Amino acid sequence: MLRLLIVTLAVCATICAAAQTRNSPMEAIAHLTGPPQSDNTQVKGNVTFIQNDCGQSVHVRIQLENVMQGKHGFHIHEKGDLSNGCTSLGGHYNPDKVDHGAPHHEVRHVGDLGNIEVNASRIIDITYTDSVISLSGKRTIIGRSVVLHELEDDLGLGNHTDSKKTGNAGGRIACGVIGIKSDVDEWPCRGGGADALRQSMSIVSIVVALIIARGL
Amino acid sequence: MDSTKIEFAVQMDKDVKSCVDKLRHALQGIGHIDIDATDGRVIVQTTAPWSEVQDKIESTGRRAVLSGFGGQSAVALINTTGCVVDRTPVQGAVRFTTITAKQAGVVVDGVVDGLEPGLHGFHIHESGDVSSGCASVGNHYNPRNSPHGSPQADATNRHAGDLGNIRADETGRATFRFVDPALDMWDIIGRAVVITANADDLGCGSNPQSRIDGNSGERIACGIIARSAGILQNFKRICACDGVTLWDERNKPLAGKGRATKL
Repeated sequence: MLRLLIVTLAVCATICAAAQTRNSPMEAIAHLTGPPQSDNTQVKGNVTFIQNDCGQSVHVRIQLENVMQGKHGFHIHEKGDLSNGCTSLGGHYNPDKVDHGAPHHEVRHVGDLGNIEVNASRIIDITYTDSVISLSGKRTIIGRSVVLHELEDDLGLGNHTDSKKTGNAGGRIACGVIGIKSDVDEWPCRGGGADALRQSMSIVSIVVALIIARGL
Repeated sequence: MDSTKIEFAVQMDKDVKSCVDKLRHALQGIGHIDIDATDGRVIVQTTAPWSEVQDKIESTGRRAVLSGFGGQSAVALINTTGCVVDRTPVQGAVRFTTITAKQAGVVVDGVVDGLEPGLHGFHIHESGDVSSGCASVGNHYNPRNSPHGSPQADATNRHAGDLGNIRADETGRATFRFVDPALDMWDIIGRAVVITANADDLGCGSNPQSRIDGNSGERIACGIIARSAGILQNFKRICACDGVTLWDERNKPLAGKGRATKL
């Protein structure tokens, strides 16, 4: 009987562990375009996001061309509604209703990704990691948008009245909706806590099995 | 059919009473109407397509801008990426909203211009990647690995993304509104809607392609299903970025001849 229980327990643990591992990471992409600039070029390129599992950091790759040399504010905005181009995307994604800040600040909008700095080649291809944005859970950035601004984001440290709201980064020179890229049918961690629940259930079942096993 | 709440920002004139009367008259029979003249807001609870309600409001000589749609809502702008309207004649907007918080299903309400008159396949695809235009949005959204079918078929005999056909009239405009009981907002946000050149045979054709995509031909237009404002979430009246008012923006039509010919 004891042996049977141990076998059951082992099988259960394996199944539970298997249920938690997903083979493919979540991937999202925003294809950015902007209106014609003074030299008749337009900003375009892709921003891709990869998250290996729910609750983990997101790897962001920014590949853009024809961006004017210098620093430009780079943010996730709340909506993805392009009915008036880049102007109808709402404000920075800020579910906690806090002040604007830098990506490394304790207080920041979820969508505050700081600045990108473009050199004289006017091409940029950089990769970095952010631990606040997520592709999964209640605060997913899927279906929202990426906006590149004309000016430098002062990271909430400026004197301008807009500094604490937007970083005073000026107009929107390019934008795109964040769409699902990977071949994932059921987008994971829907409610934010579904996987945590599944994990705790599996731990509970193991504990219960152990108690029963000891009782025998 | 289940009704949805649609909110419009409407330009009111000084004579508020006659303005409200005219709007009520124009919208008669369309559903429950709630007009806030001071804020210039009209909320309609209706089963009519949003484009029809907007036309009715504008028939009184006022400009209207849709500012909120349903509960949790989303919009796909057809053939628009970022700031740039792609230079194709097919333009439009398809809106999605939940019916109520508890009830499953999604209201699909759209207007698309510039189509050849007749039927065109209309599907949700699995990805929202438009980096190579409509070619990179993947196949029909099909989480249950079902064969292609009609939207009326049960879940095991259709792709979740099979929304059937839309019909364009002789002017090339397709106006449609329907409820799909099988869809869930969470599942479709970030994916894309695609319109095809030919009619979808709903899986009933003799061609082997029929069981894959209804033999509906080339993808002629697409848009990512993106988050948009619900009722009373949008208080924007003047755009902070370029200083133009909502009403100036309205002069750039979302769809239709005005937009197509300007390009």
